[in-house]
Amino acid sequence: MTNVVATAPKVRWIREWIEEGRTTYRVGRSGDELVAEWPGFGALHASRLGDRADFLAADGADPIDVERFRRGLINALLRHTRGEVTLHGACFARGDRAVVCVGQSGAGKSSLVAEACRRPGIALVGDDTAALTLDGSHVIVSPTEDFSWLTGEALRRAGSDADPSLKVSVPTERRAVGSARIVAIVQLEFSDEAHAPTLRSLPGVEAFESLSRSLFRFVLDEPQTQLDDFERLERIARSIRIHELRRPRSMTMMSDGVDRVVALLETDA
Amino acid sequence: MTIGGDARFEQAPGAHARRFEDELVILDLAGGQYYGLDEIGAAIWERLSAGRSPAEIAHEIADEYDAPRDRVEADVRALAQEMVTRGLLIARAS
Repeated sequence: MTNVVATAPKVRWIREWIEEGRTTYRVGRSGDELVAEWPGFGALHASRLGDRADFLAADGADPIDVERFRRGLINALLRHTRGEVTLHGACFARGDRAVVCVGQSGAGKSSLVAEACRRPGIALVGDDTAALTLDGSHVIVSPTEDFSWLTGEALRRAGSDADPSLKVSVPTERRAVGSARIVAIVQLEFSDEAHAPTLRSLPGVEAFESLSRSLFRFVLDEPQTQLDDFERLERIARSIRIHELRRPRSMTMMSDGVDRVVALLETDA
Repeated sequence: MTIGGDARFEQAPGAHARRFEDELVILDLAGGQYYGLDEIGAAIWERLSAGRSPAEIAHEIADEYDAPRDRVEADVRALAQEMVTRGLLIARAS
């Protein structure tokens, strides 16, 4: 008698992200499925069209982090399977106008946007993901999250006794209830040389690079999807002015940086 | 492979270029990579991919930008070499 054992198809990894010699994230395919894995944290298996998806958290993964993943990153990856654009960024709006802040992890996106949301009339649209819809020459962003994830360090400056090494979810006082038109995208950078926040408009290739780095992608190996991504990023770059805000790390300068970014709601409209 | 002044090229099937103001971004479908070119690099790419030779391009660009022709031709040949190495341009048979 022969025992037949069903085995899952082997994953063919397409791209890996490595930090300090360790794989932190990788994307691949297993048969017809798309796979994203964060070693030690969990893995997402999804159908090519994103209509079936299953995230399996690793033993010991923090349930709060897992929930944050489901709402933000996993939703963003699934949107890509449907040809939708999601940027890794924090977003705020006043009325029907929005600004998206992009930048590497640790660039202060959540902190700046949480601070902006304390200003009159400004509401949180998303803390980690900006879900975009391209509508003619306009780019619309829809609400994704109602929590800001702030570093303990940022909270301590505001008087909290939070552990500086942790990220803590803080419910926003004002959450955007509807979609808004993006009037500006701002790439945030900390600079040891900067004495005050400086804002500059990014020219062609730099603007494209900033957008491309911020785009969540799940389908990496299909030429038509790559061409579609290229076309969508081009449309966004043509429709919206993209800036860079360089600022010192000092929190005393935080308010000035927020002023510069909030002002874009008017000047770039 | 050394690029001669009279060499001619065509855009590789997997290379797709789009203008961003005066600059240019090329998507390489084979590697899923983007490459950016500044204003002069964009002008050279568009002429190389249209089948013009480095010598012809150097002649035009040296006039447009008031630069020494020998140096411009060396730059054009170096860019063509890099684009061929990266699989974005294909040398035409002479």
